[in-house]
Amino acid sequence: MESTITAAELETVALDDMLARLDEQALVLTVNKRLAAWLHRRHADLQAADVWETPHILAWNGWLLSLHDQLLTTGRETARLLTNHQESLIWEKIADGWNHAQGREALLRPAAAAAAAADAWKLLHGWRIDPRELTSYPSPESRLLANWFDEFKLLCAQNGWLSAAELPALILKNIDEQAVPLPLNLFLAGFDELTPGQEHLLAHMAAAGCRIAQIDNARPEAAATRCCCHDNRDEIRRAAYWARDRLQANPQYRIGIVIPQLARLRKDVERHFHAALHPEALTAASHSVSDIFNISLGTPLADEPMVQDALLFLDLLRSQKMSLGQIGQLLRSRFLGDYETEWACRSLLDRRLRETEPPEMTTGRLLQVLSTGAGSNAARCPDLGKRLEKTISLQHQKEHAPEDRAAEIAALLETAGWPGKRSLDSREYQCRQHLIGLLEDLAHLDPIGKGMSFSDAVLHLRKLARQTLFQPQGNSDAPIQISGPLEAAGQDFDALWVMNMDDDNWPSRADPNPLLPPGLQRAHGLPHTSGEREMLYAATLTQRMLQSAPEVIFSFPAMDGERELRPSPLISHYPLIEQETGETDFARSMLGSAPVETVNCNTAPPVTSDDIPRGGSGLISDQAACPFRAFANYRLGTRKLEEAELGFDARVRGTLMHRCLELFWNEVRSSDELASLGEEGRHTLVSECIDQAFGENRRDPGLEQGYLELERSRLQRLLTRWLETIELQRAPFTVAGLEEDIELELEGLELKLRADRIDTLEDGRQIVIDYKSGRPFTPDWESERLGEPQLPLYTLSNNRQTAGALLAFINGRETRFSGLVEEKSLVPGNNSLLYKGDWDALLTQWKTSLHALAAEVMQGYAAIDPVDPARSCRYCGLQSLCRIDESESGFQLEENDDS
Amino acid sequence: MTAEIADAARRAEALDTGRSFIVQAPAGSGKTALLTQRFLALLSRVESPEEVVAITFTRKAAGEMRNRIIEALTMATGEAPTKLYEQTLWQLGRKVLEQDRRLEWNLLANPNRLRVQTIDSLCAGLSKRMPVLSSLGGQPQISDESDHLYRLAARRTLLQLGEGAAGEALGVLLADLDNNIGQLERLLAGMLQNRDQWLRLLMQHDRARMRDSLEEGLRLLVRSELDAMAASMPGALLERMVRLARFAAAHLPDKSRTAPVSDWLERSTLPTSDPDDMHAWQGLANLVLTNSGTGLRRRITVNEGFPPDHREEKAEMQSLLADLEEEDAVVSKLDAVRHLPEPGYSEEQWTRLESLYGVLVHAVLELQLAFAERGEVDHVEVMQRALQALGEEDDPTDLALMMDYHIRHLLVDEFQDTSHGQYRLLRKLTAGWEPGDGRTLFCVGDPMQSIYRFREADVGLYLQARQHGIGDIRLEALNLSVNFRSTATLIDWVNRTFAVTFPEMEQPVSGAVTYAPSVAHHPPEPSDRIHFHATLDDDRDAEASAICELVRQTLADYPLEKIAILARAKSHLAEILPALRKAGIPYQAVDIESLAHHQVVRDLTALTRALLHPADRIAWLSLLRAPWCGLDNADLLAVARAAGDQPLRALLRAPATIANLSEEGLSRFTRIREVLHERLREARRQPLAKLIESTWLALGGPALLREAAEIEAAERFFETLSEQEKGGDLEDFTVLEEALEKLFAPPDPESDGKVQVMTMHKSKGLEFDTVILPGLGRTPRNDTEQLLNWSYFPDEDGNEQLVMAPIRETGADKEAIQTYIRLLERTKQQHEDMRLLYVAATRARKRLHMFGSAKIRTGNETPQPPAQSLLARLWPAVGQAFDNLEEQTTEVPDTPEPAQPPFLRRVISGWKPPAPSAIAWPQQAKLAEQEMAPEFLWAGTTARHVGTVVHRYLEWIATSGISNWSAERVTDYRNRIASALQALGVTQHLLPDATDKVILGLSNSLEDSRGRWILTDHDGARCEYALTARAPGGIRRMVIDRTFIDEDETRWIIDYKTGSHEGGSLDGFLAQEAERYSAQLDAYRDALRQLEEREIRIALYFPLMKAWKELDIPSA
Ligand code: SF4
Repeated sequence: MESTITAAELETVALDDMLARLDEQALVLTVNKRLAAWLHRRHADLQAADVWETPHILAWNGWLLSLHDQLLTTGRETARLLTNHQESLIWEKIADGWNHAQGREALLRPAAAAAAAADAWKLLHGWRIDPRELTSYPSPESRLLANWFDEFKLLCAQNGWLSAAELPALILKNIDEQAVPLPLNLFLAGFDELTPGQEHLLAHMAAAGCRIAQIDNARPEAAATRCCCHDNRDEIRRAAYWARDRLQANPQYRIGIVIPQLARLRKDVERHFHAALHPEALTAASHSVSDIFNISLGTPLADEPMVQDALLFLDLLRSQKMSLGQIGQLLRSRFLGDYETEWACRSLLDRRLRETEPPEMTTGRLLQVLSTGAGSNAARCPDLGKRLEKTISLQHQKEHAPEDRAAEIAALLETAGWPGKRSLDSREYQCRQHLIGLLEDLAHLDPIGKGMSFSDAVLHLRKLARQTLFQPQGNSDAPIQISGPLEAAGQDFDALWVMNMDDDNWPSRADPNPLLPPGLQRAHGLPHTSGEREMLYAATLTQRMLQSAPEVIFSFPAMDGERELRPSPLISHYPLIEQETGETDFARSMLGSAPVETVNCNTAPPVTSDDIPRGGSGLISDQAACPFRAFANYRLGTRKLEEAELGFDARVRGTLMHRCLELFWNEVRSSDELASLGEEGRHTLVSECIDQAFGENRRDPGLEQGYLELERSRLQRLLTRWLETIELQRAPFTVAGLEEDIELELEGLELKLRADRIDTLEDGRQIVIDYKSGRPFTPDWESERLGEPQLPLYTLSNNRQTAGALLAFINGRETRFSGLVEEKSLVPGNNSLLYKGDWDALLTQWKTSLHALAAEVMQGYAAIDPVDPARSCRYCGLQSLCRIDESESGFQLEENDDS
Repeated sequence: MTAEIADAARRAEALDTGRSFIVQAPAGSGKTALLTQRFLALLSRVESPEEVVAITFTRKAAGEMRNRIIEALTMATGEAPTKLYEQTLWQLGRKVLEQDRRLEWNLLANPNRLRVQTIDSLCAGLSKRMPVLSSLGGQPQISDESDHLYRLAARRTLLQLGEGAAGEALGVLLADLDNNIGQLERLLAGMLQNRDQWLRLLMQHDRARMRDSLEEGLRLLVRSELDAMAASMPGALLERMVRLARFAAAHLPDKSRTAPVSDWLERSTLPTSDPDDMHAWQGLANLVLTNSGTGLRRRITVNEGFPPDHREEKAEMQSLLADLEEEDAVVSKLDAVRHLPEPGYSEEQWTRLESLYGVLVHAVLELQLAFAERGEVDHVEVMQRALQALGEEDDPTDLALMMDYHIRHLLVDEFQDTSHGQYRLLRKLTAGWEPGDGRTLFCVGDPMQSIYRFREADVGLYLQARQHGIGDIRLEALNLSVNFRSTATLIDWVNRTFAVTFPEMEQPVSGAVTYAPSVAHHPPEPSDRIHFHATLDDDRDAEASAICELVRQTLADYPLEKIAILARAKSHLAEILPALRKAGIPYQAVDIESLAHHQVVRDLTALTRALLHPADRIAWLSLLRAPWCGLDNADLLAVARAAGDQPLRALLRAPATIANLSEEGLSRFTRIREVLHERLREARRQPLAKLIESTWLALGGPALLREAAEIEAAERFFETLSEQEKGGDLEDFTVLEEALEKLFAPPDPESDGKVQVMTMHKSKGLEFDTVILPGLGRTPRNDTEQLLNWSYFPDEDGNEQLVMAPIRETGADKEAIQTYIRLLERTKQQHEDMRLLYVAATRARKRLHMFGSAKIRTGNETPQPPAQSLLARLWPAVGQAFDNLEEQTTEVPDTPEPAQPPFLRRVISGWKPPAPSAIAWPQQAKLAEQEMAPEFLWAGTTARHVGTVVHRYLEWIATSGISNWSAERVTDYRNRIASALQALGVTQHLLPDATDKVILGLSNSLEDSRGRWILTDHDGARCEYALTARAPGGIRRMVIDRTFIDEDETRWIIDYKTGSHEGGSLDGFLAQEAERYSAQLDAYRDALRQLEEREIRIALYFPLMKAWKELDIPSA
């Protein structure tokens, strides 16, 4: 029996007539749930009574499902109807299996192909196309599809599954066999077009005696206008203010905002509508769901804060390791355990981890630092630690039935103290219920096999959470309804604004199913197949929208980035209106309105006895580079929030090198000893020192053993070169001090210094040496604001005559001294070190400058005055605090060519 | 406007739809108009509009061309226009409309059928339609910015360090970089970003073939240099040199036996351009050039092979040298030959390249994994995939089958900026096309304006295509020459200048392009001006103030005209922009100032960081020092000390006083403390951007700004934050900061756009009345380092050739290949610099001002420009401006008084920010949102499914008549029940138990007298009775499990509960349940009371327990 009913053949009834006549024998089927809900409300508006029997109004798919339920109960049908999640999981299994067999030609995103296949499967059923037709289009895509279809069919048959696409056929069979109850009158609402599958089903219902009509609630075509906006953002803003004005003028209005690109623009839409309709909330701390507007499109559940953190926590358990960034998120999460009392130590721990740990941490190490802290005197987080420990012990390692996995995950989250101690607001509450709902879905993912690993369970849960769109309830009745063109189908409004009507988007570009052969799609007129098809479709929708409100405004953006757009030809003939918002937004309206003053901030309070900044040469060097920097770092206690690096950072490498040299010179106390050591002896000793230094090192570079080997051999290379090319060539010396701690009192400051090395020359004079592992530079030791002051500082505390101050640069690029010496002969072969002026005067000058700098610190001199803005500020990190960019001189342009 | 255009005939020829062309369209020659016309001409000849595809360089250009086509078609629907140049369009449009009608295209209603797109979108389209052939599986998200993925892949690669072969190779590389992991990570990430340049070679060949092909590249390079060498060398001269070289080789003293010239000992034939002859050429160079410098030899001694007793040869040699003095070209070529590398790798070099290769292959695989994980790819990947999907050139994919249409005509705009990847794409798209088969290719561009080397453009491809065609398609060359933009004054200058400065000879390998002069369409005007402002010793502040003065004057003289300041690099504007601001000249800076450096953005970033991270002390202190709070140093210190080592956030709930905090400070602190405290309580209940914005507004942030532009910047910040945030949090703060770094402050909304400031690159395609080019004497920053040095160039067939060399070990000597590649790249860059100047200069309609500074180096008399500056390129034409300059530079720079350290700008204490009020709209009564306490999480699903099935069966029993039912029948239905449960999702191992429960519940109900009574068919009996009732704020829907009127005319409302309980007292349990459901049942009762007047009683029935609980029992 190959009969069909097309939409055009159906008799039509007016909406309100139909609603008035609804009785128990009538059934209204709508194109989507949204329309069903609206019809229920509309029906309610027509009722005189306060209570009435709920009419049978439901969405097409919901109706099919309810019939299937009945068939299951009575046992007529037994096949298990697959949920969306289950079905997509099956397609993904098929795709993964196929992909594994492909080797190098494997697909980058098998899941996307699976989704396209599932879509193709639905299309073929909805359009009643025989899959065998695929064979007439010999492309790799259609071969793959045919192959996957076969596999899917086989799996369904073996397991007694039924896909949603096949449900109409099953219902149809039962209609023919009179096994399902049919209404006397069937009304269809909101179907812009019927699929061949639907037409077919309707024909059979008609044959079974059902009277079918179509609801027509078209109004006379509105006198539409169009509005040219600057860009998408402007479009949204204008629509929002327009809606607000309409609503204020007519509080009873129901206003529609149709946005074809809603998915892309959702965030902006939410933001601007909220700003326009709830200005009072602009400065409010809390954020509640609007009761004035409703957006039909939800957001992925996975993006809800509490769900995101739950998934993150599960991920930690799953992968047993995690990036520091994500660990930081967990440490800052208020949805885990007793955040309210533990937040301070958690955040301090995060800061600490960034300084001491490699970019990725194992769960084990995390557990350790939570309970014992990282390094010395660091924060511990016992609550979180205990929770993590307990969750780890609860985890089942073996395969487990999905239902049990769901229970396990619930238990893990509960143990983790999720969702925290703060009471839930309504959105959070719903969110939590949704997550529980997802656990149910997870429990039902059993068709794929008996067991599920923990890891798979978490990954599936994440996927489900990403696919599930979450929309808090409570405002579906709001007077302003924002939706895509399809969701608005069948409803009518008092005023309607339709956005995105530029000729690039409306009609939109053809977007056929990527796996189905284009020829086949065109032959059957599948949706989105061709430009022609899109054109007709857009025209139908435009017409429908024109007839769904007495006032209709079409808007389009004139620009998309730098590209100029034109109005869609479907609306370009409507008269242009200026729908100005006439509204300065709140932020702009207050621009510059605050009374301001400027205060001199060159000084801070002088240092008091209970507040003496503690530090070493860094304090003086900061004071020299920029007084404010010293103030911030040493008196305000600022410290950069680090980002973890792979491998040893410069500091650790420096420490290792210092330690090696210290160990070395402990053994070799003079140039003579060095010389007599011989090449082999040097080599052995250096390598022993390296062994010891690395043995003492506690830092984890986050890399394999091979890295440590490389670091050792590098150090061996560098130190050997250093000893040979520099130390062996120097004037005779004995080592007088190694890594000596020195306390220096300067204008009341107690500086803690450490002299890397002090050598005594034959005549008793001394040379102070500081090791550096960075790029060589020449210290600025002749100006008032001394750069690199540690060696000059040391000379202040040295009683013996200092004959030279040398920075020893030891790195792969260059190995050399830099600094100043009194006489050329002290370091042969390097004339640039010789100080040309009067040496004693220099020492005196250092003394004066250093005292002056220390005095500045003590007096609280804290001017924002970098010696060399380009260099001093570059790695300073205090720009947000000192506000140097705000000042005239602070204008910075990145040295970045081209583009 | 004059009637006849000088190159009209060529423009007409370009519309011949049967031929393929390559058109050279210099600046201002109206190339888009030509493309539009040709597109229309082609449209009128095809079966479907999709058969004509135009490829543009940017989306903007695509939009513009598309709009022009639509406008032409719209115009063609009307009467013929009177203007001459519109008539052609109109006629072309008419023809298209005829075709449109005939074939029912409906183009004007459906302009999306026009295919004008960028290469990126073309590739995206191709790969999307061929998910299997492209191995993508489905279209991923394509992002413009994938740095984080490159970094991720690089990092993951590094984690392999020490493991297996790749690990060892990494070790080698790392050692080369002084074990600098961070640097290696950056370099690897950079390589991944540019992978389209090396990937094809590295991924597809086996290693032996890879070596062959790389060495082939080297040989080709050497050959090309030798070609040029041979071409510049007069034959007679060569013969003389050969003769002398042979003599010298034979007479070299022993210690000089290794000198290159000794190669001539065994050789007598003239050298050719065969790479094997390289040593011979180098020998010749060695003969005449000094060993160290680039100059000709002055002294001829026995050491060079001329013993004192051979007077004659020595004299001959001297005369040769004298003659060479006149042959600059020969000498410079000879010098170049000396630097040519061996056309092959040493084993050691090759080992190092191979280890690099291993690492890169691994990194690419990691990148693929990262792509797959994130479902996100970059444009390079899309192009690679599209290329893959198109098949091989000799076995192309049948596009018609995949796309449902053929491409019959391709138009390519900006062809001079084609990359090798794009070129390959064109070859594949046109594979199998044959001359005269009706399919055509039309490439338009201007080699003189190729300036996108840093985006892999290779102008050599244009030159090759012009000479040899693309694939099998020959392209006829058409040159446009009329410039419709600039006045004759400017054109003359441009012609004169660039004719001198552009290379004399075209050379695809090094991207050398020759100059093609233009013909002015506009006559000269008296106000035209071209001036070079020459200075010495680059005083940037002086230049900035001179430019300010110039702009001011120009604005005054020509108030209606546009001025542009075009800089080579953004940093060259560092002094000019502040100077303009100071001078009060409004300007629009296009993509110049990084958003991250705006103070307002820094404030917002600090606010974000503070709210997200309690221990970010810098951010917290910044909040307190920002103008909305404005604590001075003393108060800041007091607060910091009060917090001690703890996070400052702890102070939000601290006691009312803080030691040493001034009274004013306290009031300032209290205000912000209150705002922040309540925000933090509500944190993560709203989008992060919303939280930050509302905090900012509550603090009165915008009230403290000075310019509207700052609000725009803040808005961009919020947009960026909104893109970056996930779940109200940020994983990585630096990612946000990097994103801000890459964004630019929006143009000042208060500027009218009269003065625009941008980079030269950005100005491409634009025009201005006056153009100012600052800082021509400056040198851009050095090239960033690469792991590999490589260079691409096209060979004669347009096949890409690649040469590469590994990076040098830190501190080690450079290698010849590498040095040569760098040299080649530098030459290419110099050629490109020339073109960049051409682009910048031709933006001007009437006036061009150039600023440049040179230096007098010690030992030199005359000033010289820095070698890599644009001025150096322009020197032959403008050098004379620097003659006698000394006096002018004595102008005393007004020594700026030492700048005051900045003051703290802050709000007056006690100020309250404005608060917005709600809109006037009668809010509907709303149920107060109560905060809900957490309850138990997971109860399992099986119990619910049991309930569902029990409900459904009870309905069935009641509606089908209880008399038909018995406990036995229910037991017989065991299988049906089980399958119903299973269909709901009850798992196999729980199924027997669940089925038992259902059966128990049902048989209980059938055995229990209360149950039978409930299920019996009474008056007014209904199951699953659905009611709707009005409720405050809307309607309420309810479904009643069972209702009927009993023998006493009482209506019963009964709800089934399938729970059961173990242990404890049954009564207690039932009481609890009654408590729990009483509100719900009350509502049912209230609803039914509206429908009938009758006593109504409510109860719960528990089939699994045969229990019954009436609620709210009437007291009577
Ligand atoms: S950023 Fe510059 S001005 Fe600010 S504190 Fe640091 S060094 Fe001083």
